[in-house]
Amino acid sequence: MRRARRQHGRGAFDFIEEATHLLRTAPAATLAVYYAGTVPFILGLLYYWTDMSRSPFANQHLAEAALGVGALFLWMKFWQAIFARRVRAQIAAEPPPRLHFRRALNIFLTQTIVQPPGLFIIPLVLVPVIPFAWVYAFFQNATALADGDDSSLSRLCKKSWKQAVLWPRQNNLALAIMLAFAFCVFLNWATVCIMLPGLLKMLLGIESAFSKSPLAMLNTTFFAGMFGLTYLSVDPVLKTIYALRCFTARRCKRART
Amino acid sequence: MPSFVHQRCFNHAGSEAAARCPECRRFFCRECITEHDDRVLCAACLKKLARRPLARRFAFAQIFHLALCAFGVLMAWFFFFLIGEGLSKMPDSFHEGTLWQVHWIDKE
Repeated sequence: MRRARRQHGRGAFDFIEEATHLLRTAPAATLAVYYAGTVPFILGLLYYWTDMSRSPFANQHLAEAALGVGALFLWMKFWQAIFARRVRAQIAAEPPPRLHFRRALNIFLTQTIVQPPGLFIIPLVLVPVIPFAWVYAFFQNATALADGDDSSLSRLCKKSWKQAVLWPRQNNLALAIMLAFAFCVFLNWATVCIMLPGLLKMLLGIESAFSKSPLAMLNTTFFAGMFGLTYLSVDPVLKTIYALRCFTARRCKRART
Repeated sequence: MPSFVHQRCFNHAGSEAAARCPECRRFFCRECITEHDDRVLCAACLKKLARRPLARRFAFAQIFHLALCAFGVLMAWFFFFLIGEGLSKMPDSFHEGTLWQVHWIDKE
């Protein structure tokens, strides 16, 4: 029993439950750290999306706008790594770690190197489906394990990959559950946002183009917005799951040695 | 040429010199010298020798990391550039969601 548990890890549901509990009990500052990075990126991406899909002059400033969104992406990844660091401290029942300039710079540089390839690799591995969980876990672990110490980049990559291939059944199952959960969250947000103009008209008498024709809302910007809201709702849980996985794996390794 | 018999260790005045460091040309006792690459060196010179390639390696690593960072920024930029270009090339009917409302049955 114990051996099987060591091989497959704890149940995926246990991890999700514990991660959700951790997030619920996390101090507001931890969540603020996460959203300080992610909200600007989502807003920037939505603006970029709308601009590129609507503006006739979009091509004239495409390169600058793409650079801006790229910078916001790196900004988000930096803050997500800080968030994961705080979550790890919370799991270990330690006070939130202090962030020095040098450490912050190290984290930022590491994330700048490791995360951008994921933008191409993750959609690519979605095609053959099978390696997705491992590759996705690798990039999540690279966020969860980034500590900003002077250890080399290759060490972080090695550690991230080692943790990614650990307990594959648990990893795959947790991702499948979270995907189903994300779909439900997406439907929830979409329903709320489609009903909102009708509710505004009914309760406050505010008439708009969308209250006259709710189907007019179904454009690509709306779907991008819903994806953004879903990401903001689900991703903190995912990040916490991977921080928890990394912490548990380390604890198991220490217990064995 | 000064003989070892009359020399004292540079670090320990009470100890007799046992060797002369070929790098700094000072005399040292047995405790203060060590062998490195078939040469007898003092601790300070050995430290300097060990630091030199490390510093060079560190400088190289820093340059390499900065190059990787620049590549990462370029990659992020290129990804969003491709997305932006794809979005701007799509027809308006797709963005408005009217693409699927073509009444092909009526046309027939």
